[in-house]
Amino acid sequence: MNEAINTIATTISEPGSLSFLESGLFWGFFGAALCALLAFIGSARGVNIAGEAAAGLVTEDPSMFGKIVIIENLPATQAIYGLLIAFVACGKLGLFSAELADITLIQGALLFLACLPMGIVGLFSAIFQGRTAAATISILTKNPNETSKCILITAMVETFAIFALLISFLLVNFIIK
Amino acid sequence: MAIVKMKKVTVIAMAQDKNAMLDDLMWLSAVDVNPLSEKLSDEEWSSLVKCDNMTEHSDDITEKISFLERTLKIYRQYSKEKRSLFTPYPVLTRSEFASYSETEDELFSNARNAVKAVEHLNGLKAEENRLETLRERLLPWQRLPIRLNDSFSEKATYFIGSLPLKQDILSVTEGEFVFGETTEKFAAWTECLAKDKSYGYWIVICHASQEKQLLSALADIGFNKISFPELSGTVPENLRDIEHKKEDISEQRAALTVQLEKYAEDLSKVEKAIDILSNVHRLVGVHEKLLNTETAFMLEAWAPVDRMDDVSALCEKYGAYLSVEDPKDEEEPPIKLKNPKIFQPFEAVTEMFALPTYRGLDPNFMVAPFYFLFFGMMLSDAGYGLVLAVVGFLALKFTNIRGSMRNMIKLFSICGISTVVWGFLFGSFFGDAVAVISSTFFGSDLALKPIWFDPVSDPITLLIVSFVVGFLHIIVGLGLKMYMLIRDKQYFAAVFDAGSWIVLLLGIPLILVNAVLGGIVVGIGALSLIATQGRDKKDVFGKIIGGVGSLYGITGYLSDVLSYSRILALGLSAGVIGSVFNKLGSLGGSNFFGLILFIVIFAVGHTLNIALSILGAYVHASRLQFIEFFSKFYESGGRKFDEFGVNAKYTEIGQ
Repeated sequence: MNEAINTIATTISEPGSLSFLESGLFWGFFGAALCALLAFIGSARGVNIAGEAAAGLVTEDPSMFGKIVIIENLPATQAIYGLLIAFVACGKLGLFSAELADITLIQGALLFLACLPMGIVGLFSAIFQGRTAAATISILTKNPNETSKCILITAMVETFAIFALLISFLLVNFIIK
Repeated sequence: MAIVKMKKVTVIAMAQDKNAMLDDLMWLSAVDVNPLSEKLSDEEWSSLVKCDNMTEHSDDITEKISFLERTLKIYRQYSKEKRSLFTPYPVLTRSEFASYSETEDELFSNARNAVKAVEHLNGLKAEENRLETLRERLLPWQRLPIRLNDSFSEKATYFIGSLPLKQDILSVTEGEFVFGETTEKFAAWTECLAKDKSYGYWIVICHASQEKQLLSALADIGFNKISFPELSGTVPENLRDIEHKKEDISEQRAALTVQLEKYAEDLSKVEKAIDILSNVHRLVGVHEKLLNTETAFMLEAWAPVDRMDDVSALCEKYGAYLSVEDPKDEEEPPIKLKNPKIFQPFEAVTEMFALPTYRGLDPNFMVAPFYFLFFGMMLSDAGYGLVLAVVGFLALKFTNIRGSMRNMIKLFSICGISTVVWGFLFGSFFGDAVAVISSTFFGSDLALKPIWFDPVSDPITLLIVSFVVGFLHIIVGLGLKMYMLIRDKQYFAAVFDAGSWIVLLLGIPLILVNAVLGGIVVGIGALSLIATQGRDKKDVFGKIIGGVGSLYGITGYLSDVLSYSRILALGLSAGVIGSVFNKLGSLGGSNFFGLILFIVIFAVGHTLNIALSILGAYVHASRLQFIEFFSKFYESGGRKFDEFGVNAKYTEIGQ
């Protein structure tokens, strides 16, 4: 087992000690976990909002299922982006190599900050995208052939999650080479 | 690479030739017929000609079609001839089309019989279900020694029912009850005839006067009285009777099914009939667009220039009068795009946004290469590209998919090629599958080296590449604007509205190479914008403010270019998520179970990633065309050329 993890483990096991807060690794993993957490919650809610609208339409016209399922799943991409950033951050912290990375407190804190754009924007943009998806699904109730337009309208919201992904990725990549 | 030029044709021919001529015109598939009914609002026209109102006829056809659609569902269910994605469509020829009305009666009488047979069959199924439930209810009572609903005795009565096993019937039947003012004991005899998991099935014989009290006392412990009011005779007799009836029903059902299978041999006839009737319906619609006198009729239509020969040959055949005009300035002919085969799938991207105007520009010759490029960069995985191209090619070769879906598959398989190229440039094949497999299972450090660079370790380079590609895309957009203005002979606007921006924008990267030269170029562009962009304003002050204000447009171009960073983000997302699945799969190590784990995670994970990444690439490559590219030059709003020809939903049209 790695030294660094041991240190965190011992400090946590001492009652009342907050010295693990001074570990860069703690902040790094905290950021990765938070990013995944927020983005996943956002996507879950977004798909849920779209799904409720989708269920309504599929009740009326079951043959629309194939088209609807694509639109319903558009807000799921934020979860993927959150997963991506969390995964890259974990990689930087050495989770997939033999030894955990030896990083300073400031590096860890920066890594935490770097994860925030993806986490927070992921959370909100997925929910907003879910609402947009639900609205476009009501277009489909009247014009069943306009699927691609509905997909595009909904995907516009995702632009901002993509930018957040980009910023988080660049930051994570530059904090720890 | 262009919008097809249209001619307006007006045909006047003899009324007796009308049906034959319209039929020929339909099989010619050349023109888009204009409705002429508007002309009737003019006195001069309405005194001479009239329009046919064929609503009744057309409703009649719609009704027939929907009946046949219902029949088709039945025939599909019973037909031995199974249709799948891989069976070719039956061929519908013109002679079948012509002889259809002779076979219609037989087809419809068969169809009506089939519908009746299905209704009968459903009735039999319901009856069978009823018998089955009755049988199940009767089964526990086989030992019942009494005929059902037979007279029993004057003093005593009996009833049967179920009681939960945990209850003790004797606690009630041997107990006491209040009768009037006295307390009496029940005089009852009971026997359990059968048991299942949770219930016992009891017969209770008691004095007739006590029946009510006994039943209510038993109901308190969960006794449920059962009766079969519709039956008579002993239970085993009834069971035998039910068996006979069921056998009888299944014979009838088998006979009906055979009958239906026989009717279902008409399957392809019905499919053809639906297609024929749909086209007749369209033909009726065209009839309504004509103007008629007693002896002649008039038709007006748009025809593509390259089909004019066919149209005039047709008119000659019927000795009809034909006049051909060029579209007038205030007229908007319908839009038909004509592109080389390789560009055709990309027309769908433009069409999704909107068709160009007749005097605008068909942007496909530029949309196609850029879409191809962006899609490849966004998916950027050789493995995924290969899957896309190969699956797409196989689907085109072996399935009967057609229409817009087929077009979509073509689009994706062409873009798959671009994806393969970018995948190798970036060294990505199912993520880092090559490296993970060789290190996990073979202990070697073999990996797929990128031909150009690895975007995961060097994202800034890809960011710059994305910006450069986007910058070019925007410059091309401005170039097309300039071309359109020159073509329309607005030379001043071409040079200053589009040209100035091109000069200014090209100057910006030049600054990075040579600051002075770049500065001068940017300056020229900016000055010419300041000088000209306020030209619509009246006073000098307004002209200057308008000119300087137009420079604010630079922020628009900046945000447009930044928007292309999505190419990097989506490219990374596809590659990194793929690698995540490889990593997860390799966690089992290099043993048998590790291998199984790897194969499962690899298959599921990459399928998921391919699906999501394709959707992302499709959507965002389109978006870059619509928002960043089309906003620079595109004039949209044309109406699609609605060709008057033979359409088919269930068949393939042959001559």
